[in-house]
Amino acid sequence: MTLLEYLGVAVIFATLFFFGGAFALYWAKKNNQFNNLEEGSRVIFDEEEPEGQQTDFFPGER
Amino acid sequence: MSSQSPTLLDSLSPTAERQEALRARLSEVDRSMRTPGTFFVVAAVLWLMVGTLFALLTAIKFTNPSFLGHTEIFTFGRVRSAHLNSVIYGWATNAGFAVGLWIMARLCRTRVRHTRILMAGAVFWNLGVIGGIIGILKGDMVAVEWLEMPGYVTPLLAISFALIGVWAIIAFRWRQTDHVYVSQWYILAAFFWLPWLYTTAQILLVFEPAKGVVQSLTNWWFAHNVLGLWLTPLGLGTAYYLIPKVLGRPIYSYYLSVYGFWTLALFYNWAGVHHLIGGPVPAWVISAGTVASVMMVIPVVVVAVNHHMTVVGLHRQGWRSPTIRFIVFGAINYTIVSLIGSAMALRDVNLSTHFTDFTVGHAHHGLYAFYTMIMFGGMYYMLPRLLNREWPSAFLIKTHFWMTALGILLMVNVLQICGWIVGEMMNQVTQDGTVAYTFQQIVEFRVPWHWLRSVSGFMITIGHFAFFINVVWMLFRPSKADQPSQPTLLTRPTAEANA
Amino acid sequence: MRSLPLLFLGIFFTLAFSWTGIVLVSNVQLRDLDPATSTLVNDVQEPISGVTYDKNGAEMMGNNMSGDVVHPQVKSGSALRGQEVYEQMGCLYCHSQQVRRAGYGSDIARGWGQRQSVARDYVLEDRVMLGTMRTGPDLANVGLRYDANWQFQHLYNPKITSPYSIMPPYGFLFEKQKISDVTGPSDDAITLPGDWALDEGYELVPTQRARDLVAYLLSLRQDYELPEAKFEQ
Repeated sequence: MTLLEYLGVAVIFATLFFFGGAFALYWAKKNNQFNNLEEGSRVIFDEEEPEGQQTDFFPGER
Repeated sequence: MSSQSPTLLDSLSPTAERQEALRARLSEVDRSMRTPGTFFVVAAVLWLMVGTLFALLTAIKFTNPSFLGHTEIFTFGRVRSAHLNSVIYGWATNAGFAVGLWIMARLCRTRVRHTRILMAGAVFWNLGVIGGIIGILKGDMVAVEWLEMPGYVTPLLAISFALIGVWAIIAFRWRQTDHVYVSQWYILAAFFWLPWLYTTAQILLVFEPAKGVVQSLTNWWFAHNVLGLWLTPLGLGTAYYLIPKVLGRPIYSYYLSVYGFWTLALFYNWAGVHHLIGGPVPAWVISAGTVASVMMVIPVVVVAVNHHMTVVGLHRQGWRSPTIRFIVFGAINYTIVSLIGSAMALRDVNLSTHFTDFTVGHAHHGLYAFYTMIMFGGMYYMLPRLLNREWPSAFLIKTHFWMTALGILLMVNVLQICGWIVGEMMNQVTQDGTVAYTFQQIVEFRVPWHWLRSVSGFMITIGHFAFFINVVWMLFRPSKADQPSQPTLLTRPTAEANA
Repeated sequence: MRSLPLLFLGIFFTLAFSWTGIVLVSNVQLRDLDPATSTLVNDVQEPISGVTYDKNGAEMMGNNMSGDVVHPQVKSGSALRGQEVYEQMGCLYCHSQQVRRAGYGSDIARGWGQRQSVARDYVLEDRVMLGTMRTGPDLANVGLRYDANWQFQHLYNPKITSPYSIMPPYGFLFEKQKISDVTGPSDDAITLPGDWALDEGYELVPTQRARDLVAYLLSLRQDYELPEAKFEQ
């Protein structure tokens, strides 16, 4: 293969990757994958270790 | 709550329905992780002490080369490899199993099933590493960096890892939450990436060695990714869970954490070949590795901003938490070490840093100042909850923190300053084409730096002993003596604290 | 994000990307690299240099010049066993085996080689040990720099030949023995200078492993030219 053929293959793959990525993002948006994104950050808390409460101290020093 | 536990077949069946919503309380999850979690922590801590011992032997050999020089099994090359393998596959991996799997179980919010599989994997993994270290010392070492353990233990390691990985997938499949938190992504990805890296490297380097320098390329693709795609995701996943958790404040930007994950996944795995800059390998691979290394600035800065903005304003409170002290120290060093790493991949910088102690310092910076410190933090949070006991001594925790933090900072500075000067001395060529410094001058220049490095190692050792004593004390102290029925860390906030 | 298959696809493809790039492509690229003569010739025996293309634009691989020797060459049995000793002792952790090009570092100015090391130099190695650390000097051409006697002394205790050295001694690769009354001193005995000499009536002989290791070290020499690597002027 010549350099030009290599380049051709590379361009085809780059185009595929680009549109693949773009489509994945479009799909994700359309399927509400991005809705309430920031809400996800709260799933780590529960009533035992609630939000707004520090849960770790040096022993005997809280 | 169903009374009988599900069989393994039930758990693996793709058609089985999720059980009725049995969202376990965090303390219930902790209780179900008690045996395997404690086992991994104890194994990790024992390996840490073994690794420290090998490190000390290595350090002594640098300043006194004939120390233990007449005993073949303690020759420098083997002790050094025993150190590396016991800290990577013994300490770091066991610690990652302990903290990573516990965070996974907590985020899945389900009492874990089949802890026996996990325990089997845990026991065989550690037997495998013991066999590997013995193999290295008795001379069956594979001369490939990060893959020294002989071929007769690696299948055992692979099977053990598979058992542990299957357990993680089962836990994940039966999760009782809709949302997959970013730590779960990191941990899940790490558990998927390591077996792939390991099998490829084993096949192409140990069982059916590839031709010529393909070995070197595969070697560095693997070795750098053990750090980048196994330990780094575990460390970051832990930080992403515990920083918001301890402070009681959600991560600053969840969007940024997602963005950081994908950029890391995309760029880190190309970066390893920067260890071969200037070497006899195709130039395009090096260029690709350099580009990827520089692109790593994006995920690193994203993580740095996100963690910093989460902690900002709560520094004073956070300082009162052992977990936050260690994890914030680790997170700050993640940013620094990664930016240095990106710079080291530039050809002009690499010219000075390559083949010197700078690289050794960089490895310790990443593995210790970042990863290990985060894992210490994770264990300080996790162990009281698993055992339902408080840490016995705040003094020992503080000793541990200050000795390891100051020790590793001294070590990294010593190694990198020495490495940089050595690199400059090595490369300096006078106008008539001869070298400015002979090799003898360079070796003699390094001697005082080796002593300083031993001092830093000694400090770290003191810290490790403090940690070791605290863990053993905690395990064996009577559970009810002079302490509240629950660990103070777990007690509900008092009325005053709430007001 | 809630879609697990998407997450898994992403996790899979990111690593597949570099696996293909670094592992697979380099395998394909270097698979056909074989020992060669210093100059390649085309079909009508004219020397060619660099990568050339035929009239269809395809890359034209030259042929070895007939009558000329190809390099690198297969190592002797002793040297191959010595390579295993080199691996078991972990020499790799302090010694590299690669010479960087003139102008990038001082490898050639330091006398570590006459030319840059290239991928073809390593195609016959069972275990490629390029190394990443130079606590000690580069060994790609150490076979050209020292003789066997120097190597034996240096391995027995590096301070004999290099008093400043921080290399560990490998005394366990040697045996001290009483000089035989019948046959006299062994032919293999190592001469030790000055203070290092053993007690009267004793001699130092290398074990088979030490002899193999030295054979390996003496075999480390990139003293030939390849089509893509000529000696620096």
